[in-house]
Amino acid sequence: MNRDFALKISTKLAKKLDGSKQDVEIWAYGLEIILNSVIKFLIIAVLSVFLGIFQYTMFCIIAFAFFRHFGGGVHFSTYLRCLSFGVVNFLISGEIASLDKVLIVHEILFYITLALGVAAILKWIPADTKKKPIKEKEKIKKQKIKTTVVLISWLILIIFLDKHGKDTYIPAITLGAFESLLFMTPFGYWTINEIDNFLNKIFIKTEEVK
Amino acid sequence: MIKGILSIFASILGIVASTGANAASVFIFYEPDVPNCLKK
Repeated sequence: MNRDFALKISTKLAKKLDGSKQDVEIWAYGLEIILNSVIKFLIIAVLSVFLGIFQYTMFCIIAFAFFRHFGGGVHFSTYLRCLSFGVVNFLISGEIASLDKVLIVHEILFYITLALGVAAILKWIPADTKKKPIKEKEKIKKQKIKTTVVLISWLILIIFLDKHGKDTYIPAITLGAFESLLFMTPFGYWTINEIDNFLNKIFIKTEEVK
Repeated sequence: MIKGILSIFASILGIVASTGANAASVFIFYEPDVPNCLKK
């Protein structure tokens, strides 16, 4: 749906600006990325406000986004699945992060995330996909360095917030980072692919019944 | 005037497209098909 809409807008834009067929493809792709992200963000933002977990959810998303942008990660095969999973995932994460838990739980999650971050940088980053494979050694090295910078910045931020007694959002930042890193691991790929395959089977069966 | 605004809009879409083609989509679990012209 977003793809069709993006194509229509880009075609109109090309008529106004005398753009080529290639321009239409590029603009449609850019617009689709924006639409996909904005729709998802708005749904999450509105629902998290209603649930009273807006700030926690946003901190979780920001941490998630930083790691994912540089490290990569697994994807679903359709936008609807991405949207449904993402909304549920971030709202649950925001809810968990808002709960008052024992400090030891936060600490354990922090150390697990840190270890996962180091392991991901050494073994799995860049976590590429079939649509965007990364094979060049130079690019792989760059992605690893960038993710290392993100991990160090995340570590400094957590230590800073903890030392200054502003630890309210530490669980949200840690949980966001943890999830992002988890979806770069073989386990993360396996989980999403299994959900995807399961939904494919249901979808095919439903089509057969019709 | 309108053409100028549309040109800026088109430039933004171009930047998003090239960034999106080179990095993972920030917080979405789905990636649209990358146009051939952006594949390296």
